[in-house]
Amino acid sequence: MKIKFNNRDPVYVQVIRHFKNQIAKGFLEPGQAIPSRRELANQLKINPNTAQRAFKEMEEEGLIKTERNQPSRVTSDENILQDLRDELIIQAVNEFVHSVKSINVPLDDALNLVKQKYGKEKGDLDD
Amino acid sequence: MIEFKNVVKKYGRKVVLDGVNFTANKGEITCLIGVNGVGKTTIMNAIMKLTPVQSGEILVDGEKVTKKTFEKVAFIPDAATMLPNMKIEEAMEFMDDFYTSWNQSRANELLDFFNLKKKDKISSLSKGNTAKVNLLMGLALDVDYILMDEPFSGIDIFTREQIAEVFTSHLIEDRGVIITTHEINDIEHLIDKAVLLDNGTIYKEFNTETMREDEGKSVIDVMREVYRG
Amino acid sequence: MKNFIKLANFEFNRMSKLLFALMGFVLVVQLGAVFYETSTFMSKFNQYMENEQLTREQALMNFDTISFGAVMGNILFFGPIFICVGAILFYIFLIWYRDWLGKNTFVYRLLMLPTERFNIFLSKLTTVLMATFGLVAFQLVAILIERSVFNLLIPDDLRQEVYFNQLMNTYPFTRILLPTNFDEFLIFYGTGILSVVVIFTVILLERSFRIKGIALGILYGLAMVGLVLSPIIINEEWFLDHYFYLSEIFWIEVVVSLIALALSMIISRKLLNDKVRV
Repeated sequence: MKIKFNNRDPVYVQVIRHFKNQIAKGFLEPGQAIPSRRELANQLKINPNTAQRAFKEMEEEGLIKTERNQPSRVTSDENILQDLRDELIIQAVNEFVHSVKSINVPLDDALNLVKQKYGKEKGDLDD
Repeated sequence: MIEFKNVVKKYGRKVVLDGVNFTANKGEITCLIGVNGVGKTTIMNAIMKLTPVQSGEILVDGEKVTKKTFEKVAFIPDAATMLPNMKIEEAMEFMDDFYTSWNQSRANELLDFFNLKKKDKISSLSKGNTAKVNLLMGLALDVDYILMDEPFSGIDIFTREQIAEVFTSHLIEDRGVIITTHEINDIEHLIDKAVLLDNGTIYKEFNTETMREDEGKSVIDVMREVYRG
Repeated sequence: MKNFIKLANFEFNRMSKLLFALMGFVLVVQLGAVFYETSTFMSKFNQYMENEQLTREQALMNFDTISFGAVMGNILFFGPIFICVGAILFYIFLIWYRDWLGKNTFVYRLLMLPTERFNIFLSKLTTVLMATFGLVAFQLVAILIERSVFNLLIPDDLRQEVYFNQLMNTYPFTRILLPTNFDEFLIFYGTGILSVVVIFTVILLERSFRIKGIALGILYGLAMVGLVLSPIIINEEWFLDHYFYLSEIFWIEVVVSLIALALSMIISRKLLNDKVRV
């Protein structure tokens, strides 16, 4: 696991974003155990306090669950997972709309292009 | 908590620390940043009573520094502190002889981690390995605070990565760390708190995550403002 | 206390190689003096017999015998002693400065040890004194060895027997090695110890205040010399005109020296704790 961090967003936010992507993409499955905060800090080369903070936020959002003396696991709660997918889609759409609007492309043209592209890239979505 | 309260230090007429105030908490990595010669090393020396200060107070967990403090705070200077003709194992023996806080199993773990051979003579080591031995002598002490003076300066990139890895491991966890650097790049993501120094005073002291969150600024952004502005 | 012993042991081990090298050097070179003196003497004697066409008995009548004192007058004998004295003097400075200078600055470690810093002072003092006494003791043993070698090389009838005490009194430098009474012992070794302590204090002044410290150190050194000499000076004609007897002066000196010793140690302790710099 490696993340290329930028220096301006809080590191813990970037860690959460990374986890959300992993979950949405299915790399992390519902109920799957994730590394401990110590292991995570070590893998991502971040401060253990930052890993701790990311864990805390994700627990509060219900993304992960930690039972006593057990590794934290990705939630199996369908509602939360669905919310997460929605959140990511809305985020992506927002970004898309923002960039498309800024270069004054009519919506229909843009959507057509999206349809073409989407068909092509289906299958090798990996990034 | 390590506290500096209005600390003033002069060498003759030259003022090196001009009323320095800051705190470094246990469980956090505090980074003293500034160009060379702004008094970063002096701050560390002053904590360990390796140089006298003219006024002000330096407290470790609310107490003045005494010989007992040396079982609580370890300083890793950027020069080798063991005799060149010692083998690494002899240096470890020396530490074990004098410090009750010496933890030999952690020392062995560090030997492995750094790929050092205990039969090696200190004088025969490369610069990078000397720095590692230095770190080993400090990190193998069961102390609450660790001071590191420029642990990344003048060593190769792989050693730097290895040392950075120490910060994310249990070797550091829960301890308070003060680290000095004139080059923040390597460790921007590792630190909790940045203390910017210039001309013997503290320009700014901030929590790096809070700074990113509230103002969207990296440590370098803040440095740019402070030193250019 | 335990830490002091550990430190003293550590410091002593650091100098032991040099010490044993010095001892070896002393013995070898002084044996050289023995061989030189005995062989020149014997060849002179044989020459004399030959030139004058005398029998051994006749030659013995007119030829001066030789004592071990002749060996002690040879530069190969007293040279090594002076070199040892020089080495100890040098070591008094080296024992401190080597920890600051050089690539590996061991002084960081020493000053950060969780023990009274004054123990560093005491351990270095102990090491210098042990080295000095070690060399003195070795020299006495070496003389015994050299004398037996000497006795083997010179036939009884050509040799003049001298008692060991007499021998040691022949030259001032050997007299210092083996004082003849307790007062002398106190004077020689007491002065020696006090000098080392005062020099240590001067070194710590320099290490604390650097250039200013050199001036302070010189002033302090002079003040201590003045203090120790003051009882003798004020007892001269121009002031007290020998008001005190010599024995009284001796004990006043002992007291004054103890004051100088204590003062130097108190200052050194304070410097190590609060003023010294890496």
